[in-house]
Amino acid sequence: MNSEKKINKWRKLDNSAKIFPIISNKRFSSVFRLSAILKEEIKKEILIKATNNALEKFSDFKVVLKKGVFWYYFEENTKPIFIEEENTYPCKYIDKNINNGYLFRVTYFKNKINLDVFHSLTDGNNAMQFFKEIVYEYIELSHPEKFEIGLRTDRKQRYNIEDSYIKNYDKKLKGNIKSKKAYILKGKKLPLDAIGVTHQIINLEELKKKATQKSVTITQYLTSVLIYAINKANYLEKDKKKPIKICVPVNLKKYFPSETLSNFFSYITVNANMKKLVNFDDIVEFVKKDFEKKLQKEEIIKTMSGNVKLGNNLFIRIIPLFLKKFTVNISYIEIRKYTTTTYSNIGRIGIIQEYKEYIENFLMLIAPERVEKIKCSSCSYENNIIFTFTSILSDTKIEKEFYEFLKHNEIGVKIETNGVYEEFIS
Amino acid sequence: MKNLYPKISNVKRSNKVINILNIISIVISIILIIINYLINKEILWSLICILGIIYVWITTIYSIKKNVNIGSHVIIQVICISALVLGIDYIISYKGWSLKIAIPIILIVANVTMLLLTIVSHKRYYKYALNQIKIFIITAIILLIPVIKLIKFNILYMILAIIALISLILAFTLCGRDLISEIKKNFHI
Repeated sequence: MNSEKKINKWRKLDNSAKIFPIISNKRFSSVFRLSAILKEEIKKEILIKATNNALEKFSDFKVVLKKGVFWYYFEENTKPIFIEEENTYPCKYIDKNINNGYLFRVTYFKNKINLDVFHSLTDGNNAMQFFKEIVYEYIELSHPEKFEIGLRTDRKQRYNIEDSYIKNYDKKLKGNIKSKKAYILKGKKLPLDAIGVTHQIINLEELKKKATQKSVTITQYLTSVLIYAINKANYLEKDKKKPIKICVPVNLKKYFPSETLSNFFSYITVNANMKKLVNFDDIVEFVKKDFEKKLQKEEIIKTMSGNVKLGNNLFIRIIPLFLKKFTVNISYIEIRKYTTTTYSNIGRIGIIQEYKEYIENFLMLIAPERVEKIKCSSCSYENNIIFTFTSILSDTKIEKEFYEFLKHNEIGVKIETNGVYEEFIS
Repeated sequence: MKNLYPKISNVKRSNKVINILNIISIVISIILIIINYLINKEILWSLICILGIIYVWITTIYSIKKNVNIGSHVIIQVICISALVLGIDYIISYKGWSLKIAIPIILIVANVTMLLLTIVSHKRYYKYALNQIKIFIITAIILLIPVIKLIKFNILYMILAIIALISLILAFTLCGRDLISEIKKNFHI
């Protein structure tokens, strides 16, 4: 009898993943999107097959989120995956009732494949591995004559689903104490739950040159431009009491050895006091120093350990889930006020040479929400870095200021939007 | 990189039908209370109607949800119907029939349903294992009512206790591993 039984496998959520289902809802989706623009129109049947093939290799993503008495948990999902044409705004809440319980959604539109991922499942870097697998599979299935079997098997990476936070945190360290509340972006919101998307396609070489001139990394340079743009376009504080705070996620795999497919990221918060920062050079100098200070391993471990200890606290663990939801949601109303916006740079997307001729570009988007009304993300592919603003604000002053700055500094930049501003503002 | 996004139509597919039905339910409830107040204040029959409306709403919302298995429906019905009969009993000058007769019968039916589910689908029992535990816990709580002498212990409670016990023993015998696995999953801290 037992041999015929099928008991669904389950696993606990990693330390970061625990928070997302508790705080997420239609207005705070905790979803990010990865897109690949191919040089050919996407065919649904091939995409379904490609996704299923990729899922076989990344079977740990074949899960459904279930409610336990104290915590959520992942259970194996045996249902088929739905794939449909893109018909809503990016990064929208993933409703398990209309997605067969999957924590990611694959959609397509013309030449573009999208992967929207609920952050509980994994972080941006791991999701990119899965997404690349879908794209590789799609290209192979579309052009079987061009690709030999086994072209990628030599490059097969090893994965596991360990909670790398638990493995690497330091029990004795205390977490960083948060300081002042951040400046919250102001402005009229877009109607009907719309999300405005502005992609700024930046020439990577020219940007690198400018960053090198200032002796900063690309992430530091773009963070500085972002602070500069917010300051010029939206910072309405007369007494400049509240700082502009940019939350920058950090890939912890750069600091600790880990092969996990679960979340393994932390963050630093760049805390720009605009009383002291008068011009762009001041900002870039400050950002450089703040990054260098906060990206030290000791600081990263401190932040990570503080968060892990909170999740591991016995008192918190034994609170029933419905009470956790209630209390965490109330406290999160305040916690969110400590960040002006988030900027996530997942860096260069490395693609195997033979596949490059089929891919035009990659995009990354993060869901904005009521407090962080604009969120920013970027990724680079070939000679472009695409900096993306996702926004619920009806004005695009920050985006325009960002663009103007780059143009003024002779960095090549082009703009693409999702048409929301033309639709609602004109 | 042109035409990256589709034009989004029907942006906010708000549940207009549900909103209209919601307003209708509230208006009907208010009208019933007013009529009840004007005609006869002694028996609050309007409250019985309102309880009925709430019951229909909960059942409907739960029924249209996908990914809900039979076991969960059994539990929600046990809770709703028990609350409904208790409310009716209380409104029409409490005689205690809800606790003495109705609720034990509801629980007997629920336990028998779970027993049948165990026998019929023990190969896919993991789906119902947690519901079996929940029904048993609810039954155990209700069995405390005669124990703490809120009402007299009667034959229905005797039958309920026996059936609940048989149901749980059978579940453990046929699907013990599933039950333990479900307990571990759902109660992990």
